[in-house]
Amino acid sequence: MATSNQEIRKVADEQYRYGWVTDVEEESAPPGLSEDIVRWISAKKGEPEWLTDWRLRALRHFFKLVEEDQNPKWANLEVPPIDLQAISYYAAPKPKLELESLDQVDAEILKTYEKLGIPLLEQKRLAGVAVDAIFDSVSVANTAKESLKKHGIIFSSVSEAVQEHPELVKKYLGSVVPYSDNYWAALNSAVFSDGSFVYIPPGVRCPLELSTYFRINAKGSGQFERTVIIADKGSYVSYLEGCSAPMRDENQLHAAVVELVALDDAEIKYSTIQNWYPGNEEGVGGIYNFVTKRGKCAGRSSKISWTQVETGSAITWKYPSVILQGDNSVGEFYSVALTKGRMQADTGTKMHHIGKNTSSKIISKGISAGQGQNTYRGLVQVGAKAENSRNFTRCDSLLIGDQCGAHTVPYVEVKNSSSSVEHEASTTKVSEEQVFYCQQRGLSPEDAQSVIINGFVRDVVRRLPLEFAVEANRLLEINLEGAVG
Amino acid sequence: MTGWPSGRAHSNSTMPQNDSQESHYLSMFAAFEKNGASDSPDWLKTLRREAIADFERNGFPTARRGNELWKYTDVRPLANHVFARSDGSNHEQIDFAAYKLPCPRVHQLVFVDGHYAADLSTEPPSQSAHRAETIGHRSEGLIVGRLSEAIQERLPLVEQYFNKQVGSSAFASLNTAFVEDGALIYIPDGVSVHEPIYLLFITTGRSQVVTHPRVLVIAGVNSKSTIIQGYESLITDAKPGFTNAVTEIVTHSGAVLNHYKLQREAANAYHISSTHATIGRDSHLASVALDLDGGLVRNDLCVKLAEPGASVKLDGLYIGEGERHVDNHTFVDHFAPRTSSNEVYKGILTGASRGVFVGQVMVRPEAQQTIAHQLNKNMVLSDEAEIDSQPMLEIFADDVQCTHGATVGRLDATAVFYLNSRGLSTQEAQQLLIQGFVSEVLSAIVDDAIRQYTDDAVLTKLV
Repeated sequence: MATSNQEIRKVADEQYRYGWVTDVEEESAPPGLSEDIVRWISAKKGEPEWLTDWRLRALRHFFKLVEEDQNPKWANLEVPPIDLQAISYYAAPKPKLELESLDQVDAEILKTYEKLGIPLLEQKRLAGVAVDAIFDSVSVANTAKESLKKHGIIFSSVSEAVQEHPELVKKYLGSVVPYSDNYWAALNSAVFSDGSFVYIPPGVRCPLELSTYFRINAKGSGQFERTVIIADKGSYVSYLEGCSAPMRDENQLHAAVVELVALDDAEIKYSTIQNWYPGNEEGVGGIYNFVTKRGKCAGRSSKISWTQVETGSAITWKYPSVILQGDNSVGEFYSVALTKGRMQADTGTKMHHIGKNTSSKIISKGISAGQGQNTYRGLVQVGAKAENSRNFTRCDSLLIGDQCGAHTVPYVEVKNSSSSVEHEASTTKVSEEQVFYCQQRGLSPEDAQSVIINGFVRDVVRRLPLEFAVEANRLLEINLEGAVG
Repeated sequence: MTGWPSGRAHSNSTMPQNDSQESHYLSMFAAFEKNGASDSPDWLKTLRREAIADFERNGFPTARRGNELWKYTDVRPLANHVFARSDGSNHEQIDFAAYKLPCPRVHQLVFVDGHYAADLSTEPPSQSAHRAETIGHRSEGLIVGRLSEAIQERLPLVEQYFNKQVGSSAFASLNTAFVEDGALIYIPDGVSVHEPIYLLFITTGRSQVVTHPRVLVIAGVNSKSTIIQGYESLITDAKPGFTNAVTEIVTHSGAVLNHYKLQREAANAYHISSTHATIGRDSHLASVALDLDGGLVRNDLCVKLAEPGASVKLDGLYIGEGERHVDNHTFVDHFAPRTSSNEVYKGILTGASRGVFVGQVMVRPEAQQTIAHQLNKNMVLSDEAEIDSQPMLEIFADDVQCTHGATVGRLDATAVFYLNSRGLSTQEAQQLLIQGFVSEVLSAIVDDAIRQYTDDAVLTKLV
């Protein structure tokens, strides 16, 4: 037990390896939230009137929610009060130049990516990954745009898409997550800065894994990303999102919205690795991550799959969900959530079965170490018309140390007799017998724990696209293997 | 489509809704305090006043967003209904054969519309003690008696244990405010009671009556006993009644208690019950709850495994048909090390009925080496029926083995086909499969006589 105690201490002591600040000139909005700020952001981005109006409607709705104190409090999280007026809602790196090649990208920014272990220069050579690098709020590099253009694929920042494809943005923005959806979605809709916009035309299989790195950099700025992905009939796209933020003393708010739409026979695979700064050992600092992610299987036989590896953030509030509207559509959710130190995670998924023969699968693996609190919260809802729908849910929790907590809160709501729903969950620690067995075969206790934990998360990690596994493995190694040897 | 409820999840999130709904109970309380409750001991008077104040402050719970505990159950029809307390005048002749346990000896207390029916009850073993005027030594003997008598005679036991575990939920407060009669059961240390203790609460349905039955069970050190609580309606086309029951159970070290509940109230009856148990060191509670009927049913079962080695087995069966609504909330609190719990709740839903299961298992930081298993299985047999299942694990210790599961499905077509191919009609096959489904719960009843009685009750229901 002595060794495992040491390991636990190691988890707690594990330093955040990606903490640094890049010096880039910022052009920021003054702190505060008001209609003027929203108009300023909208004007800054040269948005059409309908979008400005939409933002303002969202802001009014948000103010109403604030007034009614509708800030969601049902999650198993202790959220310190957040001063919304102290946040700057827009931060952009230097005014954008016309960037044709990577040479034109700010050297400081390139250095940041190098520190992240994923230099853009290398990216071009690496396995055909197109990187839409979002540095704070504005897209600064867009590497594979030309090759995607050939297939008619639109992969750009939302700001660009608003200019170039206003009809698509107008049609789909807010169609899955309306601004009235929840508190944080309303705030995002009012002040969203930028994000990715993806449109895959009918019948096209996107030749690249699309990837974006979100970074929070400007001190005191929250980040409000908005991502919209549309897969038209018969198309396929795999989208990768990875996060890493510099070390900060004050808490930073992140309220992103991701909307996915899959039409007939289309498939979207959305993978996330989130490794934001979780705060120090006393729980000071760290990112507050309030995310609304939702996909709509609008068409027949469409499929949306979420995969997430959550190893960072002081607070994670995130429920990637799927609306299974089209008949025969499929929703999947694979998740690894790690909490250590004083991190709190309340995450899970929602599967809304509306169409006939819809099926969903949920695999969630939670790991709690130190004083971390890890909650799985999931909803499986089967409507009266969702004949022959199926769900399988498996969520397991692993406990490391006696100070942490693991909670499982599934909701199952079924209104149909022909559907079948299964939920099972277990919570245990790494058993001494398992460690002993491995030791018998010559593994050190540290290696044994590592093997057991790697086995525990394998079901989820192997769902990640191979190209992404470089980054994923590195982050997991830092967080998990640092935790257990 | 936001799905999640917003607002406070666990606080006493009951909000006052309509003044008139509560005021009826407030004026009823004023009358009750003047007449029925005037000769109560002071501690009880105070408790009642606090309880009615609690109720006045919180009001009926609402199913609005944010109130997790009442998310799936709307009590507005109940709150809007005006019930009266029964005056306790002589009840009509009751054909007791239908309710008789098939065993020669039984301790039996029967209440009709909330009032004790001496003619149907066996002479409580405490009666002899009453006559012998040995109140001081009462705690040495078995007590199966009326709560009202125990209160009247200022039995210290009552003050010591009464209302010690019940929180301030609206309905439990209402029960405490109007507490009048019910049962006090005390099993002395080291005593095994071989006869079942049978508490029967009958609603006649002649008028719209509200009753607040209260049961207090104290199981002494190393004692052993079996209690069955029945809630029945006399006639099926009854006027809607409202049963608002509270049961409190305390088991001391090494005690074994079997606690069975059989609820068969009328299809338009409102049945709200809460059972609170505290389990002592190495003591075991086996609880079986059978909800076969009733219009709007809500059961809260809270078990606290308070001392090391305490264990509990919870089994439940709920059958929904027609427009019925059956809501079971269970809460198992692993408070001490080396405690274990095992829970199996099963539901069968037909017609346009709705079943709710919310099972919470909490393992506190001190409760190392805990084993907790929970399973909720539901069979939905019609498209209008609905089931909402929410098994929850909240774990704050690390040396634990906890699992939970929930399933929703219909009859396995392959199994039906298999039985068809062996010559059974589809209807027979279905019945056989349903009987198999419920037998796991029914077999948790270990007492043969009670098992025979409950099996009959369930099988007649399923036919």
